[in-house]
Amino acid sequence: MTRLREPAFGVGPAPVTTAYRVDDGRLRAVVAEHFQLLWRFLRRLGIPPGDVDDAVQEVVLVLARKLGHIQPGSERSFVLGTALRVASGFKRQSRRRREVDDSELVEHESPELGPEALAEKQRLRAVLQRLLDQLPLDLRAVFVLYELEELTMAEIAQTLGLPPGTVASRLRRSREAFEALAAQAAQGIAS
Amino acid sequence: MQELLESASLDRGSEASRRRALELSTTAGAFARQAEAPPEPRHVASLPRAIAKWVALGAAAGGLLALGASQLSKTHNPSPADGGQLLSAPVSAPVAASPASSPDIAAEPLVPRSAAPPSASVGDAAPAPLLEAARLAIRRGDYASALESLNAYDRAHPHGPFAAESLALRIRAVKRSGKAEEARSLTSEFQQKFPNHSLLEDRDGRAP
Repeated sequence: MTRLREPAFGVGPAPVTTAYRVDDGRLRAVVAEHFQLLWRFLRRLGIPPGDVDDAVQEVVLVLARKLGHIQPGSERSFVLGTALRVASGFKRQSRRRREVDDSELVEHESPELGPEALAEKQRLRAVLQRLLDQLPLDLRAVFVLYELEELTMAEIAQTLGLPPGTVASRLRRSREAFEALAAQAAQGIAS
Repeated sequence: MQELLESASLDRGSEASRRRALELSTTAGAFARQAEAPPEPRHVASLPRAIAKWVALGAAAGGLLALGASQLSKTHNPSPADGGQLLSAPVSAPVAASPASSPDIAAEPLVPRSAAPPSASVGDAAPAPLLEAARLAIRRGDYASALESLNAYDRAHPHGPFAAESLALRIRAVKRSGKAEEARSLTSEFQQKFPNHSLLEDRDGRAP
């Protein structure tokens, strides 16, 4: 779980010299550039729609504290890695919480779809999330980044700090698991 | 299966959510820079400067208060584990208004999502990142982290504009961590320091 330890203002030893300058412009630019990616990733990792905002804010707070240590150009990896840790902590806490389908809280905008097509797509989106929620988080993260965000395996390895072989293994296992779950779901509907 | 995967194209954060994240990045960035700066010797003259800085930040992020107010009307899913009370939800068991009666710690002070002081104008309000971090920590049940954030906030702003919100969040964190006696004591402190505050309600559920 991500613990937000804030520094003691005005007391204690001098802070460690950071490698990179921290400024509002850079932080704001990082958030602006990666907001949608972050939002989608948290949602697909299983954060309920009503809680994604809070999860996004947790990532922003961590980003603000650590930005000075992030090499320019590596912000996306840091954002996604932090999102995974936040989602992992959220999942542990949410086991005690009542499960409620709050997908209705999210308003989807798809002007190119008619009402029936949109409703069908929303139904499939709910099915997709139920399947994703059954994947272990480590497999789900790789699956989402590869299949939905279309990152390369090299990018995923860098983002999650994993060896390339591990990424390949998790992608294979996640695909097998997802296809099996989808087949079960389809059989359940058909029977 | 392709249709299933393509349904994910519906996923999109709202413009309001994006604005909140950007506003938070502005105020959180200021805090981060303050943390990176060499520690200044503490003296009384620094306090007005710190307050002025917060007022300036609040003016720059004033729009977030409107977003926070809109969030108060949203429905949240309460959890039996935390007593079903989220910071934006109304309190069901209000605190007694009479100073002679013992405070009802079953009533948790309301803490608006935007953590805006009631006496401040819209332009002065801004969600302090430390208070926001505390709120999020309480929400996920990490009361120790919440108290750390609140301690850091109180050290940095002992007479800041969000002192009431800080104490209200502290009461919530202490109460939910099971320390009933301490929560009762803090509630009394809140009533003494901030009598008739809008974060408290009388027994009838009406604001004083």
